[in-house]
Amino acid sequence: MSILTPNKSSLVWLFTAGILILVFLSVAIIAKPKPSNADQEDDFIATVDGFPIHANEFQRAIHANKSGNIHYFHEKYDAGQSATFWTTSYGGEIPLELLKEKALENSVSLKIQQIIAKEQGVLSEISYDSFIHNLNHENERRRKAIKNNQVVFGPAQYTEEAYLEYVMGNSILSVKNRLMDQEWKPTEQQMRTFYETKKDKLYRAPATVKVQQISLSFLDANLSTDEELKRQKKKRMNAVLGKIASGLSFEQAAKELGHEGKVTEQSYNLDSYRHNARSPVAQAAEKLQIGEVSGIIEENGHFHLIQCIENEKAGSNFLSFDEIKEQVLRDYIDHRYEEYVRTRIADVQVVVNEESYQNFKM
Amino acid sequence: MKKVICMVSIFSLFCTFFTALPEPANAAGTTYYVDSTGGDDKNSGTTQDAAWKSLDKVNATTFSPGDKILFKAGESWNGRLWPKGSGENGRPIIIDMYGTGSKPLIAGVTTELEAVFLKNQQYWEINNLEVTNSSPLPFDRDWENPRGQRRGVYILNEEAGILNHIHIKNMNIHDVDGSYTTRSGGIIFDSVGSNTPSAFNDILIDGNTLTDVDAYGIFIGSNCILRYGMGDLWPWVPKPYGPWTPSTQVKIANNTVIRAATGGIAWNVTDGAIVEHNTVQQATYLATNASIWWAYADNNLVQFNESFASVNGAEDGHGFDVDAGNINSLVQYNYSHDNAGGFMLFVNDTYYTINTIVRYNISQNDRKSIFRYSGSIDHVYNYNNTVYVGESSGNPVMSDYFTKASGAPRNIHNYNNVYYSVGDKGWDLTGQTFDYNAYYGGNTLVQADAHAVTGDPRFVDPGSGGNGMDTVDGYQLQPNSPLIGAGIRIHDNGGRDYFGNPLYNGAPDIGAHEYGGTVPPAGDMPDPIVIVPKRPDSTPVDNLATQAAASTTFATSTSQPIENINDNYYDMAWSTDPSPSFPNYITLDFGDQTISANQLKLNTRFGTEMGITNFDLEYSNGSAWIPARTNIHLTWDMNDGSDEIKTVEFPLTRFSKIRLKVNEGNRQSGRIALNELELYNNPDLSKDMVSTTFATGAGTIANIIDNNLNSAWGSTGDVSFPGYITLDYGENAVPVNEVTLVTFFGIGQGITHFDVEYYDGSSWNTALSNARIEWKLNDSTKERHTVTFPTVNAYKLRLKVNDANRIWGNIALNELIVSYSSESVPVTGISLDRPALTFNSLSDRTTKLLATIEPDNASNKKISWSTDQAQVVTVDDNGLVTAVGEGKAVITAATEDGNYKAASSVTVDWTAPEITIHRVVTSKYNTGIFQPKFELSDSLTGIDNKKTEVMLDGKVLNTVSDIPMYKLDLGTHTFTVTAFDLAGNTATKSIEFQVNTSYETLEELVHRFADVGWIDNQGIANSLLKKLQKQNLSSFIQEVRAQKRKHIAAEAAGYLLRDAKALRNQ
Repeated sequence: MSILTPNKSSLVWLFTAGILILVFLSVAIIAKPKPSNADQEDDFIATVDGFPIHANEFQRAIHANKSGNIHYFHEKYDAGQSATFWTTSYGGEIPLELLKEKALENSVSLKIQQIIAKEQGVLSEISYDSFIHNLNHENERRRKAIKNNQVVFGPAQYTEEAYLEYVMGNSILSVKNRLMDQEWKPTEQQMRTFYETKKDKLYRAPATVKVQQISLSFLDANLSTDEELKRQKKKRMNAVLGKIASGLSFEQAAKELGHEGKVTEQSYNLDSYRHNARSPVAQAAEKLQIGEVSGIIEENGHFHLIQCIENEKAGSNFLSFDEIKEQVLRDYIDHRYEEYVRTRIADVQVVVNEESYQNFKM
Repeated sequence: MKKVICMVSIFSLFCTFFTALPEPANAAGTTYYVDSTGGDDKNSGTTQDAAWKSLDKVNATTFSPGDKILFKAGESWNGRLWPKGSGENGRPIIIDMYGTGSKPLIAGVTTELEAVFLKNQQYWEINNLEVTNSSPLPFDRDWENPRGQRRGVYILNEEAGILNHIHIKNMNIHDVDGSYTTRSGGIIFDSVGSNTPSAFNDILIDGNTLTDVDAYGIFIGSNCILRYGMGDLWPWVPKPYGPWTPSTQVKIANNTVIRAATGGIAWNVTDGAIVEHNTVQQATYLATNASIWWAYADNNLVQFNESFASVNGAEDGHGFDVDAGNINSLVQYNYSHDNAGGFMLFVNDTYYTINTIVRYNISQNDRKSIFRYSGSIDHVYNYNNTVYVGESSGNPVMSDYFTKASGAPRNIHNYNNVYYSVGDKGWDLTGQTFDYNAYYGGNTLVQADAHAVTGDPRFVDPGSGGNGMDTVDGYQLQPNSPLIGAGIRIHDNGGRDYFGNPLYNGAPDIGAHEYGGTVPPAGDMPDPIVIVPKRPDSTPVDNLATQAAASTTFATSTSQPIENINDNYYDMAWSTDPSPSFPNYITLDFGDQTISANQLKLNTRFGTEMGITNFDLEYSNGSAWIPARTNIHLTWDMNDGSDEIKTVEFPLTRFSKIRLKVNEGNRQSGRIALNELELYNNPDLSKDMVSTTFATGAGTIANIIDNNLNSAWGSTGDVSFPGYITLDYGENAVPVNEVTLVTFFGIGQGITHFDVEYYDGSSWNTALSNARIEWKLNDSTKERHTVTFPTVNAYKLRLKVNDANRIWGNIALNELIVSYSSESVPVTGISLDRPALTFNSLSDRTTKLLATIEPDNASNKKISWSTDQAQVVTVDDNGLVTAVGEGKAVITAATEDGNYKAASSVTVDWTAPEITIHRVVTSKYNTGIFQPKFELSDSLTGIDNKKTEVMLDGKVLNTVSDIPMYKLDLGTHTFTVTAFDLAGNTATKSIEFQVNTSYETLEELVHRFADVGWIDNQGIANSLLKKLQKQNLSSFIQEVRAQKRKHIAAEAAGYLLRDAKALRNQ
């Protein structure tokens, strides 16, 4: 990204997030550079390849980053809120200046993605005015629809922030889908190459454990725990465990339980974290070696006993390319989009409206 | 539930007490202002000019009902906001903003886990704050990540019972960096009720925007989850868990959740939650989860939500997820698109997930698995959904499933859905049925769908949803769509389609759109689908009563039949008509099964009004009713709709019928009633009834009466005789006359010599002495031997074991079955209802022979059936005879007792008799003779000659005699023979023949008639012959007419004229 400021002052631009491409040029002073694209926007903070970043867009970015900024100075310098907070130098760092830099950086990134969406025919207008017009129109539509008992998805009224996320979320999806269908459609070889380079990070096969399992319920008529029954069933399960310890096979020992001693085969996918985290059986299964028998595990009104018959450790295998081709394609496109945005940011010409930028106050 | 009610009433007492305190000076409450740059904590805080400054000041204050705490717009605070106090009904404490500008910001600090906090407080409303709570540490899947369980807004109920009215509205919450638990994220409600069941009533989460929140956007959680045996939650949820106590009046509406690290919106342990008009975007941003999901919750309504672009589809990642343990969920009018995992996930890894209805939703370009069923999902109705699988879906599966410990999915019904695909991997149909769906493209077609529509659905513009705000009008139907009117009606369908159009316009349409234009009249439609929700079973699986047929001698209410006592549902009761008489019986009949039981449970609601108060318990083994326990008193305590369960124990008994002789009941309402009758074999109850003087070496002596042949008792290796094995029936004597011993490896360890002794209430007596058993097997087969003796009434019964096989030193017994069979009445004879039986081609292939045993009250009515020709007929144990091939056979029924026999001769003949017609007439001319010659034959049973029938032109000929053919009309005739064989099979054969005339045969007739005198004048005869030779028919006819009744008999003249005219017309 080349940034042209119409001011000779040697302002130091700090960019984080690995896009530290800093070309600093001094050019002739332009009192107020005119945006070359789109409608005249009288109040803008910068242009990106001629597209204006409206002061309100910049304000929105300021606001989005404000809390992070306050948090940063509070954690690092124990800085409290006061009338002079924003302009005070803490160890050489001034909150307002850092915030403005971050906000400009975010604004540029957003505008670039809007420009890409416009180029791809997904968004026809990317000016702030048209955005606000659409937002108001949409909120009005929602208001009327609700009044007329028509279907409305999501909130009754959008805030500016939420609407921006909604529009950009959908636009980026569409841009990716378009590019995936056309210009970026990868060959099989390209996908395989991508798969090979990313498989360590993205395509490790999840850990699975296959076990034989016997279960005894200790629930009463109201399906709540019957302590007496529980004691008995524990005893019976212990007897099975004793048989196993004395050398009987898992199936043979299960017969000790009569008709209750039904041996079932279960598979536990250890990556299913949300579900396994609440299953002591799955957690026990994870730790077993092949052939090993667990202790008595209590789960959901039952005692369980399991014997591991297969244990595929996570990452010992990769998901096969053919099985996850669709996911690879998706990941490939996501990756390519990120690269593309990064390249575009590197190449873009940003002209800052120094007057507005310098005069910006909280 | 009782506990909860009780707790609520304690709480309301507390409230009453609280409100009885002197009123604060300002009944309307005080408004406090807070300004971080212009305020001062030394100020009063009650005006904008005298605002407080810090959160510390606010946090140190206990607020009163009706108070307001207003933060200045545009200002910021670092720290945690935790104001104290509670409001009250109608007078909540309100947090809001004042002034203009951006929402006041509460930026959380790393030293506190939450930015906004309430603990055990109620009647609060929190509005219009910006809240953040970031951490510099990265997210991962370790729940103990050092970030901690950080929250934006955290509402905690810790052992406080029910807390009311917490509303959180119009907040902007972002950059909350918590660890991966359900207690981290943007807005978290948390109930911990290990000792006091705790939950919220009246939660409103409305109009909030939550962006970049880890782990969840919104989560309502609880540790009060115990029901249906459910006992496990995630490790971060505090233990012990409390009884299931749902939060009620929960509404989550109009929220926007963007980039939640895991789930967007989730709620657990609620009843009646409404979740609507939310947008969840890019959920599962950092880890697997689902965008909108719920668990352990009843009666969920999820509607008008847009759930899209979930990021992580590795495990789940669906737009919507009815997760574990939900009873009744309605998912409707939602728009799901571009989700990495798919549209709809169904999970059950604990107790029931039942009664889920998914209707009138649109799924567009969802990926991976559009529908996924995981575990024993039951009772799902997916109907009128529109599913569009486009290019960017990337070839997903339409549905898949996983079997978990809970079982496989079942009863998943799909109606009126349209599946439009440009490429997919098809369905896994386990547990699913499809009818009246539309399939277009890809592998969507389900062959089993009897009313599938497969043409182009003719959507207005499929695949066009979601780009911008134009929603999904592209999924409406064009006027020529084949989906219009092609669906089946669903009862109670919500009354509107996805777009708000009323249902139905004519016959129902397939998909989420009900076409609104002109449609043809519906005409006759199939009956609508009526969705009957499945109810969770009330009793556990080992309740034996559900296997029986219930009956009663009480006059019973028609609306509350006797079947309700063993239907497994507590909420359905049996009741009598008013004014029942006593005694009467309630019987459970197990049919052919023999059951062992020792425990009865009676559940009656409103027991003080309608409960049974006195009964005898009697059982039958086939011939007599024997008391198991008499004069059982029940005292009912409850007079409301709650379940009151009375347990009655009785000696372990084997039977196939058991009955309650009901002697008395509470009749305040005029009737008696019973909600459920349960029957159990509880081995623990019986274990003290058995004892032995032998030292136990293996198993426990209770194993011999646990109704399980596989569990055994064994003695130690050093046994001395005699020893005793004793059963104690307690206070009630039991009639017995049979003892059965079951042992495996009997040759090695079986009891061989014993006496049966019984205690009659005062002393031990011998029932059977010197009983001997010869064990035949020495393997794991459970060999069984029975000894019988005259009936005794035993309070106790024991085997005096005198000797046993002791190859390994020990003795053993798997089961000791003591029973009663009524006194033996010998069989004296048997007869069959049909001594002979014939199967022909018309009869059924099976018939049942009825055997009658003499006398009627014989003890052993067992019969063995046999056939001597199995290739002809077979017979089963019930006398059901099946014909299998032609031939003759004898079926024999033999009594087990006495070997009396009765037989029935069976003939199987399916072949019809054969009819051969050699000839019918001697000539084709009228000069010939009708003289039929035919032959009948039947190889197996022979011709039934009496039934043979011959017909000429449809008229039965009683005798078959020669007929001159001139007597028949000219033209075609039919001769028919019908024959029967002795088995009743029949055959019919017909043959046609002609009667013709000619000059020559007419001449011949003139000669014949002259010979028999019908023409009595030879001259006239010669004249006629000459005319025929000249073929002058007109003068022939003239002359016959002239001589008719003169020299030519009328009959003869008739034949001649008929033939002459026929010739003339030729």
